[in-house]
Amino acid sequence: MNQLLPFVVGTETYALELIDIQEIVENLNIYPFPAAPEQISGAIAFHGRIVPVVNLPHLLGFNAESVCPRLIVLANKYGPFALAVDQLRPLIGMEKGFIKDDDSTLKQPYVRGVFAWREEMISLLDLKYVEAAIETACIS
Amino acid sequence: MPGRVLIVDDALFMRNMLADIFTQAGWDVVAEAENGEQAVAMYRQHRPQLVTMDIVMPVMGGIEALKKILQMESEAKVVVCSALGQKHLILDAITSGARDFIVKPFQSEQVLEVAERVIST
Amino acid sequence: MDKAKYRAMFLAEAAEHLQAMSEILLRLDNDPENRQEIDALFREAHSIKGMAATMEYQETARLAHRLEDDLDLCRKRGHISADEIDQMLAGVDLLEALLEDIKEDRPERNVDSYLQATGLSEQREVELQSSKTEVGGGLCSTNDPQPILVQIQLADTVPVPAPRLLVLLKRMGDFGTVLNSWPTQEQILTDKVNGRLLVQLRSHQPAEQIHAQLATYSEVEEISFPEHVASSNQDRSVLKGASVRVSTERLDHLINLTGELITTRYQLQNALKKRQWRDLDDGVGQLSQLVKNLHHQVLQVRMVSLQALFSRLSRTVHDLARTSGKKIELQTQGADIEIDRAIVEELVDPLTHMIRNAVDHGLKARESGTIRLKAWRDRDQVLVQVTDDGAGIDPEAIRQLARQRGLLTSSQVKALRDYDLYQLICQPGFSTSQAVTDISGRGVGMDVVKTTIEGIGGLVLIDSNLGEGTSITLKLPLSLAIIRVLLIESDGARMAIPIPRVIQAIEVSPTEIHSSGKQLMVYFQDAFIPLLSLRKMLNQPKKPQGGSISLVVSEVMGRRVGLVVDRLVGQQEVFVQRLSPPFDQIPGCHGGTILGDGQGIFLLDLQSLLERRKKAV
Repeated sequence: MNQLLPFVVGTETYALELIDIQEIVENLNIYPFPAAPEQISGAIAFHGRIVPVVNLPHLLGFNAESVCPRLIVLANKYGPFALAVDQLRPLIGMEKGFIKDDDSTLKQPYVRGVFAWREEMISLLDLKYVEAAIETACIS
Repeated sequence: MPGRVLIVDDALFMRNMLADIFTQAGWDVVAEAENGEQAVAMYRQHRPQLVTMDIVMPVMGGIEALKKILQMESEAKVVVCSALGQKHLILDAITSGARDFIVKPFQSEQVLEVAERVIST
Repeated sequence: MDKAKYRAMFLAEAAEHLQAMSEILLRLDNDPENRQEIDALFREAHSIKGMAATMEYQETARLAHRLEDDLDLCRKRGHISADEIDQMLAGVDLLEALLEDIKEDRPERNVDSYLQATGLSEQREVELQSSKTEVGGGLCSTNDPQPILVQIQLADTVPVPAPRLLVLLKRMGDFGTVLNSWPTQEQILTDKVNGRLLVQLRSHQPAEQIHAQLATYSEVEEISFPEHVASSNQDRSVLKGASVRVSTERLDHLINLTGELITTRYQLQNALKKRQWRDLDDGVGQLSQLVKNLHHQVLQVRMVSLQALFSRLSRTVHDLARTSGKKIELQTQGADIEIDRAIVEELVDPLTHMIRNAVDHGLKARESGTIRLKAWRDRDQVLVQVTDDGAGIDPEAIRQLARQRGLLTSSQVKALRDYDLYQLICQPGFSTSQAVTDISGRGVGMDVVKTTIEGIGGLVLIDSNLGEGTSITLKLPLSLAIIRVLLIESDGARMAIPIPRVIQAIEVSPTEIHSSGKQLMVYFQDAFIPLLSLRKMLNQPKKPQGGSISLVVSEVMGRRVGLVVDRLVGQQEVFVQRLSPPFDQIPGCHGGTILGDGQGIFLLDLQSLLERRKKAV
């Protein structure tokens, strides 16, 4: 059984595996970097650590004006950093192998696979892609 | 295969409890001693296959008794018993040649696991 | 041979080699595959062996020989493991003790226990043999079984893991020969354990049999046999972590402080129970003093003296003198100044470079000269200075080149003081110029020096007098982790600038602002410096005019500038957190810190901010 956290970015619903997530925080003060690309909102003071916050709508190319108040702090192996998202959904459990054969023509590069949940299509976010996209944003 | 054991502890209660555990499992409790000095004498007399040795005892402590027994018989199999807070004494005893240790308070399975493993090696 | 005559010379030189060995080992700790360093290390050991053998110091020679052999194997393999580095450091320590014996005219101590305990060569040979077997197929005799790794994980519920691990370690000895263990027996005895034991074992018993016997311990939760020796590195690092060597004196200080803290705790508890507010107040005062002291002492643990670095640089000068045929005198001062270990490591290359420049260029046309290497402490900064009495830098030559290369306009060139001109040689455009190298004799690589020093929050200051010599001063923070910063505000956001980067923070009135074309300037000390608006650099909205103007005078890309900020807030000591990659690549930011009130702020990196703007333009 895989525990997944679905969340909404722009008009799409994505999900991350719970194992990749350290904590969910809301309404924390985000301190802006002096000069950062717009994909990087700033950083939060999280348990005594400076943790950068990535604006996921921006990173995925949504023209979101909204300030995303909900932050998903990823596990320590990711730095860690936090992803700001528009909305969170309740956790869901999926049996192993829940992702159908991936039709690579359909999916976005940042999606590991797509699955159906209660008449809705949810995309499993590919964190490797996210990391690579952040790197590109930081260096340019 | 259970064997012959010498129980060393200054508390009568502990000796009785250990003796019960061993007897019920088919061991032969050859003697009981209430301090290190007695333990050395009893070991010389009975040459048991196993000794359970309390560390903190009056007259002669467990570590000193352990060393004396090992001088007499370098292959002697001594298991020390000690309270949870006496980690350094346990480490000392193992460095001095104790084969294993039991932490008080203990359960009978733990005692028998250690005892059986020690005499079978 | 009259040994006594050469003894002092031998001791001095051997000590130098040992210093170099520990320095290299410390660097290899971060870069274990650096073949040049391993080669250098091998040569150091080789030199010691040769000298000791000549002097007939048998034990010293034996030990050095062993280190040399081990390093030869590392050299062939192309890397050195963390544990091997630790063993080498232990070997270097033992060599130091041997030198002490020789110095005190005592018989040398016996090194058998080290040679046996480490078993490095022996074990490495087996590794090499096994790799041969894979390649060539059964080249080696199989009398000795190959070492295997056995890893044991105790259950979390085991109340006292250390004795259990000790019993298990001894039990491993029954199965065969224990070549290495992590933690070691000493670590177990001092309770440095985390419920895991990894043993490198040479045993005739098959793994299944060892597994079966270990499985009789109910405390053991997991038994595994990690595949190859090489693959154990990861496990090792988990068990080991980064380590520093701490003098017992410093540890005693820490222990004493902890003792005092415990006493204070009881006093406070007592006062609280009895509601004696006065005692409580005293206790809290005492506590804050102790915590401050403890913080200081913990920082001290990371501090090392510049001694090793200086002796290494003496060696550089010595070698340069030999190869150039010049007579060079090196004067050092302040080698006992202490600074954070991480900073010392960063200083090796820049200082070596500065000294090489001083010899190659400053003393270019001379037969002889003097180089002064000086370190001193100024409040919470350490200054390290390299001075030569050579030709100096010709400011006119720099003026000319700056114009030619379009780095400065004619009017800017005129406005610049000589001192500010010298700083230009650190600019990449300047330093790579062969012409300047020939004229000023300085440029090559100074941009690299500057980048490195500024990367650790420091500053490079160059001063020169034509015909009298040149001095280059590095202004460094005491510690990388804790630094003093100037807090400033810009459009409501607070930011910090490391104090070593701040020349002065001043308030000026609008009447003091001059303009030269589009550029606003202000007269500072004895020159005009350009003003830069931080709001503009950060793309923030313009600040409404009015009142005095807050300036942070700093040096960016070789030039003094006045950074216009909204407000100077004050100074503070902060614990700097570096951002994890790739966020550390974001321009303008050196890292972040969390202030006492929980507010997060960032350290401004003016250099990268300006570079980014240049790129954008």
